[in-house]
Amino acid sequence: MKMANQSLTNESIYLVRNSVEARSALETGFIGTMNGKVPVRAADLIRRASGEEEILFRHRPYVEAKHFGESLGRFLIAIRAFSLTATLMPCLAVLASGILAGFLPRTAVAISAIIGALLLQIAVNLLNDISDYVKLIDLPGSPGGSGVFEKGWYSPGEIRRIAQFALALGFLAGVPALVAYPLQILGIGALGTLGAVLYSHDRIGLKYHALGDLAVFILCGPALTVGFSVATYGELVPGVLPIGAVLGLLACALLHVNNLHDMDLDRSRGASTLASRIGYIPSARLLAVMYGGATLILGLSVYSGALPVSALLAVFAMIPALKLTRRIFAALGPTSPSLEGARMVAAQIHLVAGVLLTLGILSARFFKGTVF
Amino acid sequence: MSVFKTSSETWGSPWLDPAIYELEETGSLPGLENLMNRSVLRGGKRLRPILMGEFAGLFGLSADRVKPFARAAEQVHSATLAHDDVIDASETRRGIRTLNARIENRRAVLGGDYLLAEGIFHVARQGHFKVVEALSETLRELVTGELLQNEARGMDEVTEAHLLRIADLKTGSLFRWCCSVPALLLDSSPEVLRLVRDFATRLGVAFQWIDDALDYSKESGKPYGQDLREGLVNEVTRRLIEKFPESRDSVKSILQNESEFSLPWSETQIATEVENVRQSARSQLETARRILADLRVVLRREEHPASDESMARVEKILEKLERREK
Repeated sequence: MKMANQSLTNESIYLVRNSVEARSALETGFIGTMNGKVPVRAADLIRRASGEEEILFRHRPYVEAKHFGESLGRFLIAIRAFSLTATLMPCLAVLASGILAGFLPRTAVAISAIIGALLLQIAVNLLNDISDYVKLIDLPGSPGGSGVFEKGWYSPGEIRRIAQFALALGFLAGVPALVAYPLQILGIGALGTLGAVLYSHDRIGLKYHALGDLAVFILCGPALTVGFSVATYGELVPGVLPIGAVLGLLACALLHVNNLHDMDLDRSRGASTLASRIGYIPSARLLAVMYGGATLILGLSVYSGALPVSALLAVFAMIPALKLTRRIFAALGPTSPSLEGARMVAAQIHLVAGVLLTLGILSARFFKGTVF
Repeated sequence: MSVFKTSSETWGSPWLDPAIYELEETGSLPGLENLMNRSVLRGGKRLRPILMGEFAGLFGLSADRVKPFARAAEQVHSATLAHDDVIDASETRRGIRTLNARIENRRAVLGGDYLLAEGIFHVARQGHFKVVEALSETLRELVTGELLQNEARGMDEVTEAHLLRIADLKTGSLFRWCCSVPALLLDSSPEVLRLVRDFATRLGVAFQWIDDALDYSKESGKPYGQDLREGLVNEVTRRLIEKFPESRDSVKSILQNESEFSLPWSETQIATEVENVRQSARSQLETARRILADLRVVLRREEHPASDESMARVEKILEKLERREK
């Protein structure tokens, strides 16, 4: 393979940023040398005096997983499994609400809709990671990224193939719902697809114009619950909007914690998330408002009868939310090491809230006719 | 014996004269000044003044021109060491009793503040606003780095991003100032300043990583695994935890002083990661060399009389750093 604009040292290869070789190395994770294809990862970006930018590629030996458990663990990290709660929990809560109201779910359609939504989210997560890696946003040492390229677990080419497979399967899984309710599902599906594409688009990029939070609130909240309700039951079941609002706010909080942590990096590359625009302490206050808002909506929904009293079980998830908010206020700033793991905690809060909300709604079925 | 004291003909030997850095025992606090001259201002590689001196040569400035700033750089560095010694309750540094081992902590902290004030005062007296502005930015970065590092004390979940940031703030910031001073004195172009700062940043990170590698060296003259004993995860430790996740719990209890100091890795495992970290440091230095080559081109383009001798000596500093065993 002919190498242009390259200089080779023992462990590093420098390639001009927009060269064919550099783009290929970024996309595939390999560079052709006289000794054959070498697995590499982008390790640094250097601006030369000539005005050119050079990418430093370092040898990235593939690290074999010792056993199936380790392989599975790597896969779950790559797809950011912890974030899938944002899609799964609203669907389960709506399913429960429909059952409570006596609706009969179209089980096969419901399952395929959930699988479809999860696969689409996995595809978005993976494509987002590749996009950030190829744009050199997630170089070693940056706070974002799943780290799978750097650790030599996967090449970008492998991740892209998994993403494309997940995307195709996700669309296929949505076909039963589409056949059952074509207009409604097309509408919701189009909104979801548009949102997913625009979220990290090069120019429009909602997440880079402080609209990511709003997009996530809608797509992982009311849009998701409405779409799932239509797909599963053919209509809007009671509580679909409050469930969407509560879990949408918690999904928004998860994104917000992530952006809060990445604030300095986002600012340095001109990406304008809501957190980086308003600053650290206002972001911490906004997080408190999100969790407080979710709690308030839950309370009002129960008060108005939109949700059963037992749905208040989900309030227990606000205890770790309060602790997380305090931890964020107590940290020195976005780069504080005490924020490590905060996004995982935010994801756990969403998961626990979703589980408790679902169980709370379901349990009302057994207490019908009593105080619930 | 500092690794940089190899040849008085090759190195900027004037920078090794301790008299440059000593506080003059003037009116108010001669006792404290004398104490600091005998403790925190003694010894050391004087890398920062040497760097500044060589960069002065690159820009055609004499050593005397930058001497006040070089002195201030070493005083600022020593002030941070004095504060570190209080935080870590260290009794000796470079084989010499620390300031806090001689006087109570409160006075040692104030002594460090006094040294800082001295450095800033003498820089300000030179009358170059941009240099003062850059120094104030450096101090802010230094303190930020110290605060972030202190916050991570006792924590095992420390990321590479965090350690890189601390290396950049704690070590890279003062290197950046030292290398930038000659350029600032001559009102150099933004391109020159950018290259100088980029160079110094890579140097700072490389220096810190080599320091982290030496923390696990029995020949370095420092206590083995000192960072871990002080509750800090360095880059070698971080990679060991990442590679051997089963060791995390043991490391956590060491970091939080809940168990005796007994490393959960074999010597071979440690040696492998030490070499990997050194390799990463070499990669940073390789990048620093490329930036230095660019700087040479730009300086010539801008008609600065860049001294070939100084350029060669800066490259020699990089080589020495790469081979540093102490």
